[in-house]
Formats: sequence, structure tokens, C-alpha cells
Amino acid sequence: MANSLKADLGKSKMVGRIKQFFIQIGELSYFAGRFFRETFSAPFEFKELLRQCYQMGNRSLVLVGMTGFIIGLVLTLQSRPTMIQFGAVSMMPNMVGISIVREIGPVITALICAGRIASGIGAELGSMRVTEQIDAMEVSGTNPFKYLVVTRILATTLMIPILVVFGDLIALYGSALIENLKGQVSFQLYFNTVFDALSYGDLIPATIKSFFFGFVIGLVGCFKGYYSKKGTAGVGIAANTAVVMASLLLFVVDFIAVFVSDIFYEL
Amino acid sequence: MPTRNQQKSNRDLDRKEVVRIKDLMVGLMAPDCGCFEFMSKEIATSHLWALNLLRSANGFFFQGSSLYVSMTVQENLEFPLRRHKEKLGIIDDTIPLVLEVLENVKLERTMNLIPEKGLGGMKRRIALARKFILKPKNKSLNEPTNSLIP
Repeated sequence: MANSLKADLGKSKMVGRIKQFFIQIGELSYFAGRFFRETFSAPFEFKELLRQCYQMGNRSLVLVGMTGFIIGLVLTLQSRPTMIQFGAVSMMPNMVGISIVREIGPVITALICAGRIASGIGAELGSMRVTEQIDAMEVSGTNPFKYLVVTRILATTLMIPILVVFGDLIALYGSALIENLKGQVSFQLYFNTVFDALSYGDLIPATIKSFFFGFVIGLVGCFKGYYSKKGTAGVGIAANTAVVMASLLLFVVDFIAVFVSDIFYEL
Repeated sequence: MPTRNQQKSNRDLDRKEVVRIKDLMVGLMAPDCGCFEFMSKEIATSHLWALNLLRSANGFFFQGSSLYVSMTVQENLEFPLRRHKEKLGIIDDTIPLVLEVLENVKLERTMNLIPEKGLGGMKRRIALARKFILKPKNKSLNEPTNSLIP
């Protein structure tokens, strides 16, 4: 009897969680729909958009640069011994270049930005909700969704691809440094080999993918912050769930993007 | 499909919370059924332009100071001035107006400070100044002298 009650309780909890998951997806889709509706209707908040681009782009440069540099160093250091074993060390720039530009650069940069930007947006909008700043903004004759949400999502969508390109370049520089120190390969030869190996077919899908990454980071951060629960605990939960959900969605988007670009390759 | 406000309203009622009349008055929340009239205007069906005119004519003071943390005192006070274009039109020079209200609350030297770094009383007075900068006809103040030293 007790066992069947426990099983029923567990089952209803699981059903509740699944239901909650689909409700979240529905609300997020509604939020995204509202974003597109509000983006293309006047008035446009250009000044706030520029401010957000500065905040998100410029202030993430050092973090993205540092991460990219270390990824470039580590990737080269780790794969060098194996490549030497196969006698393919001359292919190092090609391998590192293609893997950084196509996959590692965009994903690592987006994950770093999800940690920094999505949590920042979640906490900022959450605290604005808690302290009634969003209500005060609406009473001041401003559409808070347009002023706070649209500008932030647009800023992340525009800035993440630029950060990705910047991160890729720094990572390649880090890789070239190791090749130069360990293998006597000059910087010029390294970059010539990398750019010979790369084609627009590598660069364009990765850049388009980065726009979607930026959109996901902004969307999830804003969604969690804008509808955060009242109280200081709500702000913490909003920041935390924003990072978790954004990181998870990034991989889903990455899979879809790679799948779609693969179909185009085959055509 | 119900609007976000209606959803919020339903949710609040489900939790047996008291629906704040203030939210209905300024159009932050829409009634589920029936109508809510304020100053002989039905809020839920009002056009945004008319609603903003009504909002600017009524100074609503929030229980917390609700100052924008990322803006300076001057930007906080300029915000409603620049936004309520229906009532004020486009104002080129807002500094005299900002200085006037700051002098009224004796905080004229705080123009370039970030309000979040100030004390509770200072924030309260800046919030009051922000409310009075639009020179509203009606004033609805929720604990305006809270944390002020008499």
C-alpha cells in the first residue's frame, strides 16, 4: 500500500516536472515571438542598444581573449605528440585552424558569454523586477520590454559573432606561438597554412551559428530575469537558471546548426 | 490568448494575494472581467498614448524608491522628462528643471552621483524629486517619508 502510494507520488511529481518543462518552452517561445513583434515596431531605442553593445562586447573582450589564447595553447600542446607519432606534424595548423574556426571557437566563446552575460542579464533584470524599477519605467511612459529586453537580445545577437571572430584569432595566435616555440614554424608560415586550409564553407556556417548563439544567450537571460519571482532569492534563481538553460540550449542549437550545415555540404 | 498582465493578474488572485489598486490605476495590470475606471477613463481599453498622459498627470510614488541603479541622479530625473513626450514634447535642455527639483529636496550637488551609492534618505528624496519633476496634478504617495530624518 505504502509502496504504491510512493510510486503514485513519484509518478505525479515526474508528470508535474514534464508539464513544467513544456510550459517553460511555451513561455519562452511566446517571449521570443513578442521580441520579434516589438523589434520591428517604433520607437527604436538606438542609444540604449549602443550602450548595451558596449557593455556586452567591450567588457567581454579580455575574458574571451584569455580563454581563446589558452584554448589555442592547450589544443596544440595536447595534439602535437599524437601528430608527431603519425608523422603528420606539418598538418597541425590545418587541424587546429579548422577545429577552432568551425567548432571550438564559437562554442567556447558562447559558453563563456553564457556564464558572463546571461547571468548578468538575469540578475540585473531580476533585481529591477524585485525593486519595482520595471514598473516605474512603464509608469514613466516607456515600454520596458522594448527598452530592456529588445536592446539586450539585439546586443548579444550582434556582439557574440564579433567576440567569436576575436576569440578565434587569439586562439590561432596561441597555437602559432606553441608551434613557433616547439616546432620552429614561423608565424607567417603558420597563418599561411591555416588560411590555405580554411574556406568560406568553414567560416560562414560558424558565423551564422554564432548569431543564433547570441540570440539564445540574450533571450534566456532576459526571459529568466524579466519574469523572476519576487524577493532576493528570485534574483539568484533567475541568474542561476539563466546560465544553466542558456548553456543547455547552446548545445541544442549547435547540434541543429551542424546538422543543417552538413546537409548543405552534401548538396 | 490572455495578455501577460491578465496572466499575472490571474496568478496573483490564485495565490489569494491582494491586487494592488495602484497597479490597476496606472495600467500595470488589467482586470480579468468588468472594467476599471480612473479619472472617468477606462484604463484597460485606453490607447497607450492616452494612458501615458494619464500616468504623467498622476504622480505615483512606489513603496521602494525604484531608482534606476545604472543611471546617475541626473539621468534618473531626466528619464520621465524625456519619455513623456505626449505631455511635454521634446525638451532640449533638461538641466534647469532637474536643478529646480533637486533644490527643492536640497540635493543640488548630487547630480552626477549614482543613487545606489547614497543613503536611504537621499534615495527617498531623489525618488520624490523624480515624481515631482513632471508637476503632476494628483499625487499618490506610498510611505513617502519612510527613512527620512524629520
